[in-house]
Amino acid sequence: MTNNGAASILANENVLLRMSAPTGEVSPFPSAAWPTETFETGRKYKYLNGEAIEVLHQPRAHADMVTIVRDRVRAMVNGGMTLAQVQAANPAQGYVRRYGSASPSATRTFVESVYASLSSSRTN
Amino acid sequence: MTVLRFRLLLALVVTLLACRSASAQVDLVGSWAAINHEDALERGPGPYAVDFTGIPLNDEGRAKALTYSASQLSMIERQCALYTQLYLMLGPFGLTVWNETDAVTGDTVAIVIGAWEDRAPMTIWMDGRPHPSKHAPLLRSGFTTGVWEGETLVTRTTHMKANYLRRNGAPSSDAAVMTTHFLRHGDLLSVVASVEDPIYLTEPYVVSKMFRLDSAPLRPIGPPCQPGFEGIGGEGQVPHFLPGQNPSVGELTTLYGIPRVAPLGGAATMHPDFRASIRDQFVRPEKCTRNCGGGPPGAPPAGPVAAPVGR
Repeated sequence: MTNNGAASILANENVLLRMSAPTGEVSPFPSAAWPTETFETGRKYKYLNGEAIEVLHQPRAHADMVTIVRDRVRAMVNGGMTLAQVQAANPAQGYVRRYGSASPSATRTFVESVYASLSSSRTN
Repeated sequence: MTVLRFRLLLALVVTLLACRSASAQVDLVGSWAAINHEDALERGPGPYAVDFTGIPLNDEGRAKALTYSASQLSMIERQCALYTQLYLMLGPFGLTVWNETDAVTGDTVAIVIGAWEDRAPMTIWMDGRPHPSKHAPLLRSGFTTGVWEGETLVTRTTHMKANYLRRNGAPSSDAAVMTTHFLRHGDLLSVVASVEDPIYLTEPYVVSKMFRLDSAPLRPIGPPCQPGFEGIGGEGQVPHFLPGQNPSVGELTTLYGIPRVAPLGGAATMHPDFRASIRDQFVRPEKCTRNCGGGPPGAPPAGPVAAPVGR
């Protein structure tokens, strides 16, 4: 019986590596939360509940919003704009109502964080 | 009135009501070929990159739409992402419809519209079950329930993933709700959908499509999607346009003389009086050079455009 009867957790091997730690070191997540099955190839085949399942690893999966706002802020930083100017230009427009309407300050903090990280590495 | 007579009368009334309800429903089972005589450009080669005319986008929706690059479809993680159920109206394909029935009672538990290669099947639950919690997972198929209103099947779809209202990136959010009416007129089927989206729209967006009953069976499923590298996407990259840099904003103005304000969409562009409001800005081009109507895609231009705006 896998995982003491609880649901199995299937994930790419990189998930296990990030959640665990080498022997003798403290892992960032408790072992009960680790994947119980891993795969290191691009895809994993299984047969569950009478259905063929194919799990695909998406190496570049990421959120549009993070990437696009980052690129907008990067263009502004490279153009020499200050943080106040960047905030005024509303680089998160298109994503605010969905992701930032509950906490407008969170949007400003997010843009500020992106600005800070990009300003510290203008060569990006 | 005796108790027996009352019960008989009650049974008669219930029976008559049940018969009326059953007779008011319509059989939608079968293969329905897409007619595609309307919005042919939309359903064939696809709309212009920046043509949001008639879509009631708010500023957020417009900003997101202008960010979109069609190269996103070539990203390996998006190639099998599929469209949402609004694609019933936007796509070029027909419908295959069947009923899922209770094995004991014979009642219709669900009406199913088969999948396409880029749209998940739509299961319309007819058994009165509620929609899931707002915290339930979002699905490419969404979650759909239906009721009969006379001879019209009215469905409500929630829990859709964020996607598009038009194949050029006009966005729909995961808060969108789609109400769809299926109206059969003999061998014709009208499907009319209304999308309400509190994130990107200021008013409902309505789109319709016609189908014709076809004796040739349509496949209810598409081929399995196999993603592969198409040359797009490095680490942390999403193809998009920065604000003010979408190169297609002026395309319809160049081709047809349509003022720029029209293709940028908004609720005003849905209404007939909008044409009058931009009439003075319209400049008729000397010659129509693309999608002039009258011929199949790729055919030579059919001549000057016929009164595209304000005429």
